[in-house]
Amino acid sequence: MKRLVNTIIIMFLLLHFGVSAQSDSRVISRQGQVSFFSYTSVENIEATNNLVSSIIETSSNKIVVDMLMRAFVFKKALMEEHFNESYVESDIYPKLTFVGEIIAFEAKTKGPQTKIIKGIMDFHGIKKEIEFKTKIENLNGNYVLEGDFEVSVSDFNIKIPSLLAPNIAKEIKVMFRFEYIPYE
Amino acid sequence: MNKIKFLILTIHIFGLSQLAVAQDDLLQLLEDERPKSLLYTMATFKTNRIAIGHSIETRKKGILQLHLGTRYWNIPLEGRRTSFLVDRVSVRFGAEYAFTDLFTGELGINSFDGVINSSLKYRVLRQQDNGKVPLGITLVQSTSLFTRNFSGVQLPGSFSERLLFTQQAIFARKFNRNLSLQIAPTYIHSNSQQLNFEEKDFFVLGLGGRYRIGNHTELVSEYHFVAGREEGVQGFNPYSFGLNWEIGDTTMQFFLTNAKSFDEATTILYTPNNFNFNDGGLHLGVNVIYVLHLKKRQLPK
Repeated sequence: MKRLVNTIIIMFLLLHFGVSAQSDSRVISRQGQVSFFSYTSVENIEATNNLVSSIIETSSNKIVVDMLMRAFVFKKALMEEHFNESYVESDIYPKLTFVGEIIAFEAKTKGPQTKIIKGIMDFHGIKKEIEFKTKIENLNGNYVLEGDFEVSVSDFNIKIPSLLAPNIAKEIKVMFRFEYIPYE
Repeated sequence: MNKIKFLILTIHIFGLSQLAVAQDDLLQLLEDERPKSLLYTMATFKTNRIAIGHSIETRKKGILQLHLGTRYWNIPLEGRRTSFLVDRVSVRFGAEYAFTDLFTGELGINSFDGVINSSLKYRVLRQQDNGKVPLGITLVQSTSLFTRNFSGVQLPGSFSERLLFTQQAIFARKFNRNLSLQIAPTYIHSNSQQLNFEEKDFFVLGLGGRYRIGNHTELVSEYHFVAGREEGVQGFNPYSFGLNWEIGDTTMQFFLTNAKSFDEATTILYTPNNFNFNDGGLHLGVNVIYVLHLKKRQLPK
């Protein structure tokens, strides 16, 4: 009887240990930067969001990203309003999330490495698998992750009126940079 | 013994589920980590004019807005018309500059009545998305200057008598993504007595609303009720109904109205005809609003 109780207590403690071990292996970036660019002959559109948050779980190579559409800053104020109101509809779809994996990531290896990230981007009500190359650098337990990729506007059901079709690129270039610190 | 087995199982399940949560809800964790930012409600109306009157909106800092307003109508005629398309056209040129995100100034001139007007607009309170501030308030001060006689209005002799002052407090709420309503108590002081008015001070209630019908279009309507006047010889309450269409930096406004003028005081007090389909009563309005970003923002590096 006593042995059983002890076993239970030990198991319980072990489970707790497991949970805390999980959070020890997490690194977080609270002010990651994501920019996007649309280049056409009519006009260039550029916006930056520097309040993007992301967590990497170094034990499982899992990466998640979360950003608010309203946090994107445009050079032209009116564009920002139209972006939110008429295109990405941020009142209905306030955020973009990404859940993926850094394939064959060696978290313990110091210095830069180039890896593929593969995962699901959830944006404007559409979930789509995307894959892109990224540079990751391990600076003594802090990580810097940067890279770029292209997304197609039509993949995410964003409607562009035909009158404005020449102003907005079909493929939007996305650039990102995250600096991770251990998560407490 | 069974009791203990049950206990083990419970603890196991409890512990495992905790593990599962820890693994899968990284996204939830990020959401909890995100600082709560203050978001002001965007685009209660698409532009800073509903159709004939001010909306609660102002432009953002550094924007110069050009306003080309046109009205078309027929005058009552016996016999055949000889004019091309319509008998009368009125045009307004206006320019509005946003000194800050909250404060704008405007200058404009109308061709039909020759009224020159300037206005200052200040946002006192902005609606917030989190619901803490449920509505927005904007103050408008507008001064109009008569420069000639038109439809019953006689040009007074002295300069000061030609002035009219309009003060508006606009209260508006965006109820949901489609519906916004505004109410604008207005006080107008006219330095001259026109159209057999005995008083020089008028209290007006302005009502306006929009309903979004597409991502780039909204239906709008507005009405100004002047308290204590008999509609008729002393003018009619102005009404408008129309469509606003946003095309990038340009906004087009198409509407029907009975107002001939463009400035606040003349539109509200001295609209000489009612809104109806009788000859001369209905005016077609087409406004083109173009936005120029004189100062562009710096993107965070």
